[in-house]
Parts: sequence; structure tokens; C-alpha cells
Amino acid sequence: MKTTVVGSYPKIPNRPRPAKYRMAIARLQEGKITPEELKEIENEVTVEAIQELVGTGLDIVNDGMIRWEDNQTPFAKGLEGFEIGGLIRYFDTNTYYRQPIAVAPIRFKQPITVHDFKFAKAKSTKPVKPLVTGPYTLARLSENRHYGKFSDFACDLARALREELLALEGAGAEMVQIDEPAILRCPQDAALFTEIIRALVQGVKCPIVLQTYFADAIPLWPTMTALPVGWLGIDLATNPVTWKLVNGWQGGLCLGLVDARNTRMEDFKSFRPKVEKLLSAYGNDRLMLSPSASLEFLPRERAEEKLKRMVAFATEFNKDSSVSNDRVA
Amino acid sequence: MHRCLRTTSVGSLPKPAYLRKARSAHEQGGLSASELESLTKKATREVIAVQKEIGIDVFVDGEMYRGDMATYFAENLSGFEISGLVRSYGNRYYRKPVCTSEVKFKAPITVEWWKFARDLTAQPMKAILTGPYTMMDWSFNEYYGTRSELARALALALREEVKALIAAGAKEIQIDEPAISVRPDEIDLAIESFGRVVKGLEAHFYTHICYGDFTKIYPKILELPADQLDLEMANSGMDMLDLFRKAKFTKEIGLGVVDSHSHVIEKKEEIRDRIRQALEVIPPERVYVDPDCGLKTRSWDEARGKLKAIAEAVSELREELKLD
Repeated sequence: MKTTVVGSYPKIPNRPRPAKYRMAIARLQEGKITPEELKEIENEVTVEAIQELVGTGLDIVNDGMIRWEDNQTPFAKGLEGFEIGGLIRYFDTNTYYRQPIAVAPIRFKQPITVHDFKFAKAKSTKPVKPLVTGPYTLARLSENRHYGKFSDFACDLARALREELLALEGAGAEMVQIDEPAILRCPQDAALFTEIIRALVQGVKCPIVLQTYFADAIPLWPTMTALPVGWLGIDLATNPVTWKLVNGWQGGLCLGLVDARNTRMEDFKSFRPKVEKLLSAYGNDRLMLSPSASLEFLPRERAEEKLKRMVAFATEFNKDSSVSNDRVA
Repeated sequence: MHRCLRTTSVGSLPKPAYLRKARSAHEQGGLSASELESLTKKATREVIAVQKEIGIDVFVDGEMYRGDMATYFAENLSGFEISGLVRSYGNRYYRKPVCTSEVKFKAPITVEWWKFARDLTAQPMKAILTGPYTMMDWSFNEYYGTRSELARALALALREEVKALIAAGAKEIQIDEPAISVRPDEIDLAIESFGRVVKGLEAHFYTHICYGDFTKIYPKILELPADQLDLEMANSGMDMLDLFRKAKFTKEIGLGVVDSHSHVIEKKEEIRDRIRQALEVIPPERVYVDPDCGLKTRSWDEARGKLKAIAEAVSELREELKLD
């Protein structure tokens, strides 16, 4: 049973460690450093984040998305057809993002995340899982001023982002995470969602983790389990009722059991019987443990501590289950 | 004071550069608490003077003594610690309250500042605090089992603050609930918590709501026991008025007519137009006119410009419509 993260990592640590990235952006805004100098600092801070994530003992990491303002902006800037609008609340969090505005047909121009992926891959001793915000969620979180129908907008996004997936695969990605939190809030769009995810992953060979969060996935489960993806990622912290969701899925399950939105440390012992039950249905190779969402909702030190404890839980669990397997053998 | 189209502010106003510098010096141990207090008072006097000069009807103290609207109250209640930095957007970070033990009221939090500001003017002075639902939603909860338990505890503690303000003479009290429209499934909890704060207390109660999906909580939100809902109307293109046409708006409205997050100072004609639109749905004696939200992120010139544009537009409109 492996461990991973599901999104961005807090960009700055707390005192006494310096908030390099925050200071660098402020200095850029004051005209005291150049955009090239900011890039240097971004690279430095990204390497530090990767090292910290690897240091927690995770099996699969990412680059912490240090360079991203939010999950939408890099794709809105990287694709053709978007402008960037004003600040708007991100789901039910107390964080905000700049709303993309579709003003022309959405088209793929060139790879958006591949350069950063290659950089992270070269700097990490553990496999790196890049993240692409899914077409449904990107469409839902954008303002549509171009398309007559939402479905045409989402389908064009799926076609464009498929190119991104193929480019990541070509760059050596062993697994790609697609974030689709918005679909949990719009179960009435299940049929459209199925259509666009099929279009998105068509011809993509590397395993895809379809990641959802911020709500209970049970109502969408029949739809999710019919999708041509290798893994499903679910948030078990927002609503513990989601633990009931186990049946009818032949792929891998990423269990978001660590609450990414509250500093309270989880009682890992309480997870044990639930994970054991899932293990008997799925087996070690088809389960991963992760936080429930991006860890950027937490102060950096608490995020790191939560990851360490999750890894310790997985390690102990794997040891015990291998012992009991030996006994059975 | 005017009876129709009273002008006011949502709460925060920009901190002058000297105060920002002083707050940061104080945080790093380079300035004493009393020195900071005297500069905070100086800034508050300036805030009052600006409102006098512009001719605002209901004053605010500008919140010169506060950092973040949730953290400030958490720091002054029992039961909270303050976390490391978390990012809200772009390069903006804040320290989020962490509830680690039972929430209790210790001593009045804003009363002395309110009295200080009140004594500087004969105009009514609004007292402003952050509501229990928003305090709950914007804190980490390590102590209570559920969100509703934390909201309930906060409501009881904040009720003591409201009682203290009333005892000090406050008649206009605003309890901010900007988080209220974020989770429509918790609207009952939000209304119940607000009710626990104000039940049986005598004052003119306002609440400020922003940045959420108002369509999902209207008209249910009219059950909130406040006299006035202060809403960001400019930022949403006044489209809430359509909702009010479908289901009657039964309270006073705090009509946000200028965008708090834009550098551009709105034209008077634009503001008059927005007010006229509102008057089609709500009678003038139930309309208060203000910016969409707190102006603390604007420069002083922008904040002053926006308030002045509001006051002048209102004054012209009162004359035109022969309102008192």
C-alpha cells in the first residue's frame, strides 16, 4: 500500500525558516527583482518542497505546485481561448482564484506542465505524479462567454487537455492525476462527465488517477466506477460516510483519509479496521493513502507532520499485513 | 440625520503607512504596545475626520486596531491559538485561528475602541464584530466534535461582546457573516447561531454578507434575526434585485454600490443608477448606501474617492427625488 499527495503544498514555511517565495513575489512586484530572478527562486523553493515531500517517506510525490497561483490559472494561461478574470471563491474554502473566462474556442497550443514535470522528475528520488485540472472542473470554475452550450465548452477542454496528458506521458509520467472536484456538486451532469472523461483519456496509456474532493463521492460512485481510468481518488475527511463506498470497482483506490483542511491530527488507529476491510476487497497493489485534498489549506509544518504520520501508519500497516500474509503462507 | 438613503461604510478602511509600519515593528518587538496604541488612535481620529468631511451618516471606526477579522476576535477569546501562515490567494497569507479548547468570553474586545471613536463625533457610530458562523468556518477546529458545536460556543461568547457594547451605549451593531452564503446546506446553523448572539438584545442589528452564492440562500436568509442585510451589489451587477422581485425583500438593505476590489473610482451617475434600480424594489427609508465590502485593501485616495462619490451621488439623488 503506497502513499502519495494529491495537490499543492504550502509555498512558505513559518519562522524561523524564511518565507523565500513570498518575499520574492513581493520584491518582483516592487520591481526589485526581474522575472528571471523570480524563476530562479521558484526553482530553488520547488526543490526544497520536493525534498521535504520525499523526506516524509511518501512513495509518490509531486513538485508541490509551488509555481501555481491556483489549479485553474496555469491551464487558462496555457490554452488558447481564455482570458483571466477577477478573484472568486474556490468552492467552500476561504481561498480565492482568478476566474478564467472563455472568450474564443479552446485549443491546445503547447505543453503546459511538461517542463515543470521534467524538472521535478530530475530532482526527485521518488516517482513524480503530475496534476492536470480536469476539463469538467475547469469549465465549471470558468466563465463561459464564447460557447452556446456548456457541454461544447467542456468537450473542447477535454480535447485540448488530452494533448497535455499525451505530452506528459511522452515525457515519462508513470501516473497522472486529473482533478475533478466539481462533478461531485453536479451529479446531474454524470452523462456529460462520462463523455468528456472518455474523450480526455482516449489513447492515453499511463495510469490516470481521477481525483475528487470536498464532498461525499457516494452519489457519483456508479458513474466514477464506469470510467476508463486506473485509479479513483476520494475524500474521506469531508464526510466520513464516504468510507462506506467500496464495492464494484476493479481499479485502484486512493484513500484521502488525512484531513487537508483541518490542523487536527487524525487518530490513525481509528482508520485501521476500515483500511483492513478495504484491503481484503482490494489488495495491497490497488490501495494508496493520501490527504483528502491539497495541503495548501494548512500551515506548512502541520502539512509535513500529517504526511509523516500517514507514512508511519502505512509502513506499520504494510509490515503487519506482510507478517500475517507470511503466516497464512 | 437623514431618514432615507443613509450613507455608511462596511467596516474596514485603509491603514495609513505609518500605522502599517508601526504594527509590523510592534510584532517584531521594536515598538511598545502604548506607542502602537497612540498611533492607532491617531489613525482612528483621521478616519473619523474623513467621514465628517465627506458627510457620511453612520460612522465606522475603520478597524485600525485589527489585523484579520477572524483572527482578531480569536486572539481575544479563550480557547484559540493562532496558526502558522496559510495562503488565501496570490501572495496574501494570514494566520488562521485554531480552536484548541473550550471557547469562552474573557473581557470586552472592541468596546474601548468603539467608545474612543464614538466620543470623536456626534454621528451614530457602528460597532462591528465577526459573527459566530464565520468565526467557525474560518478557524481550524481541533477541539469540538462538530462544526455546529463550535458555532454554538462562539455564539455564546460573542453574545457577551454584544451585551458589553450595548451596555457601553452602542445602538448600531453589525455582526459580519461573510461566510454565510458559502455552504447553503448550513444556512440553518448560520441563522440559529446568529440568533443565539442577538436574542432578546436591543439594538439596530446589521449583518454583512459577501462572496458567495446568494441565490442559494435567498429568501431563506430573511429569517436571520437582523434588521439589515448589507450586500455586495455592485460586484454582482445588481443581479440580486431580480431575486427580490420574485420574493419580497423584507429587511433594510445595505446597498453596496462601489466595488471594493477595484482601483477605479465609480462615477456618480453610475452610483445614482444603481440606487435607482434598488429603489424600484425597496423603499428609500430601508436603503442604506455603502461600498460592497471593507475598503482596507484600497489606497487612502481610492477609499476617500469612493466614499465621496457615494455621498455626493446620494445627496443629488435625495434632492432629485425630494427625500429627507
